[in-house]
Amino acid sequence: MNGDVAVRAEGLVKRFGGHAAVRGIDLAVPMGSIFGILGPNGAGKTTTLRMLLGIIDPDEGRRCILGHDAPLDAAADVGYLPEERGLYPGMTPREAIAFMGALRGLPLAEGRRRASAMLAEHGLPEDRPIRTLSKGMAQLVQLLGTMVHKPKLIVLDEPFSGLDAINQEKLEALIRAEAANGATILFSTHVIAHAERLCERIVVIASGKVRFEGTADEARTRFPSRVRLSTRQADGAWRTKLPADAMLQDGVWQFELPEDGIEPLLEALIAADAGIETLAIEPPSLHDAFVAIVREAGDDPA
Amino acid sequence: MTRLFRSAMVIARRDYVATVWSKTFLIFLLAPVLPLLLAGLMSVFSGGGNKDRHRANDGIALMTDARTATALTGARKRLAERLGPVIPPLTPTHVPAYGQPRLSGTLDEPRLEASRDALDDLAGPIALIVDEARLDRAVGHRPPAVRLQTISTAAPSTVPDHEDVARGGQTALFFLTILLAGMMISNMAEEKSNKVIELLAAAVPIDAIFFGKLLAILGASLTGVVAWASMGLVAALTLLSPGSIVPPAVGWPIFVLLGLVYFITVFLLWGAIYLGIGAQAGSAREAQTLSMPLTLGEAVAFLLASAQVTHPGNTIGLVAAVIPWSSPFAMIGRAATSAALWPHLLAILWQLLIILLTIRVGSALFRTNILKSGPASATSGKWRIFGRKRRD
Repeated sequence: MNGDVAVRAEGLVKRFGGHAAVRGIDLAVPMGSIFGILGPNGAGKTTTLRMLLGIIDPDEGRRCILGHDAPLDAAADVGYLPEERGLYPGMTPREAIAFMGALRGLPLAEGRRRASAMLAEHGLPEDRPIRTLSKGMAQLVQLLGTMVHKPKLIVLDEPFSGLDAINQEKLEALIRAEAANGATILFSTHVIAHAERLCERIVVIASGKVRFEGTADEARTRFPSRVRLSTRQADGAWRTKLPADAMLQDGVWQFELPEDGIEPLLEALIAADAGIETLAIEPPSLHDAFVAIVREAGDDPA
Repeated sequence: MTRLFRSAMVIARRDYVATVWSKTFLIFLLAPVLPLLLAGLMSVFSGGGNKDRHRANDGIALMTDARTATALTGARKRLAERLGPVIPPLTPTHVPAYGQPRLSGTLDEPRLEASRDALDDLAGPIALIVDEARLDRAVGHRPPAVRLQTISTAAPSTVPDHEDVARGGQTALFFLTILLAGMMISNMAEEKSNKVIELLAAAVPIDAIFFGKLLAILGASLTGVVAWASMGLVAALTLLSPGSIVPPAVGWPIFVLLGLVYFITVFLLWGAIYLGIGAQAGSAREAQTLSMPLTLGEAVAFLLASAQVTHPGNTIGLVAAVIPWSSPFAMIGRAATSAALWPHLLAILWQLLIILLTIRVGSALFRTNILKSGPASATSGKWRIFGRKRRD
């Protein structure tokens, strides 16, 4: 497998009973990138991440993490935040972070030293039992534990879920900082805005398969831009010139940009005296692209 | 292997500290104190009775006329020469101490006053003294002194006494493992409810999680054993007189050492199964239900091992020593009744072999179900028990 690739999966398949949760996933996460796995609920994101990390074994396919075919061989260089957050409630944040580092091979004393510094930096208490912390604080403690051993690859499963806007912003800043330090970040989400702001590359998974891989821009350009048009009069003979998919919403006509461009349509509308007030051509958002990709796959994007 | 051991130690250390520094463990540790406390209280109360008797033995206030007093003290002296301290001293006095038993009246109508306990003890000896005095008055006859000599009534073998030690050792092992099994299973259920298990599974091999947890509970239990043994030693030194327990056939030092080894083996043999089963449970209640058949199985092994004590040479005794899950119980019993050491070496090697296999099976069960990783792993895991399974 290529040395410039931090994580590679080839044809990963996982079945639970008779149900195939993942049906042949291929992906390549470039070293040092922020890479997003997008998909609706139940698409197979968590199962894919668990297979990549060696928590469960695939029924078919191969995986390679930081050059190791056996994921646990790379454990010292990997940090993982599971979707289901879990910490020992009786532990203090300092001990919890040091313990998570120790699991990845960081000596406890060094882990405690780094934990103290990290907690102070984020204004978190060191010696209060975790059960007394708020959910957001506990989540931040676990995230710090994921990073305490300075991993080369950080895998985050739905890292933003359950966080308020302030903590989401903090987390985005943390992810950017780790990426700036050279770490590869792989995270899953079904909230498109985070992926749009953070990711250099994304894959969209639906029904256990990769439906798109590339940059957010590439995802958007797969689909035509939208035209938003308002006129002096809502109706008239000029309406026949509009494309068949045009729909009136709140007094504004919306439709896909025609394949031959906007100019022929504009000329026809002007000739028909449509009385154009505003015209906007909007490229599709990643959200639009995501919804379209998932719909193409036959999944409900909810 | 180094990584497996290092990872197991990280988990064992966390679990050990969390277990030992908990209120539950303190209660667990103090559990044997309650019976000791009860024994102490009983000793204090029975000590009160002894004090009363002691007062009786100090002497009986003899409050009779001078001639009767002379006859009684003379009779008492003759009897004491033959029967020893069971004959209480008589002290002629007009002013008895408070609570002191009193003998008054005449030889024909003697009167004894004392507390109820003292009366029970003194009635017989005083009757003897009065009879001796009456006989002396009537015929001046002294019964011929019977020459006394003791003979040994003990059986040539001390097996019954050794049996007590054997049964004590077996019972201690049995109850310890039962107590710890509960701790093990609830620990596993708690781990699942904390949702930490995925975090662990992503960082270290599942075998290391399994082995770490086993080591942690073993460490915690050895801490308990050391504490209890210290308390037991203090209690034994306080409550038992020297020589009241016959030493085991192999001697106390080797018996204690073997007890420790068999405790570790029985713990690993049963603990690995309990932990594997605990991983199947989703809640503490489920864990309790799942542990019931195992507890019954352990009780059967214990009963089977009891046969080793009463019938060390027969088939049941041999079977109990050979079946790995009853072998530690049977062999600790054997250590008390037989001095031969080579069977222990064989048994320990045999038990270690089965421990390795049990840990593999327990670990496979644990791995299959701890993250509900699906039936594919379950079927393949069956065959991977006997070989190294690569997680790639």
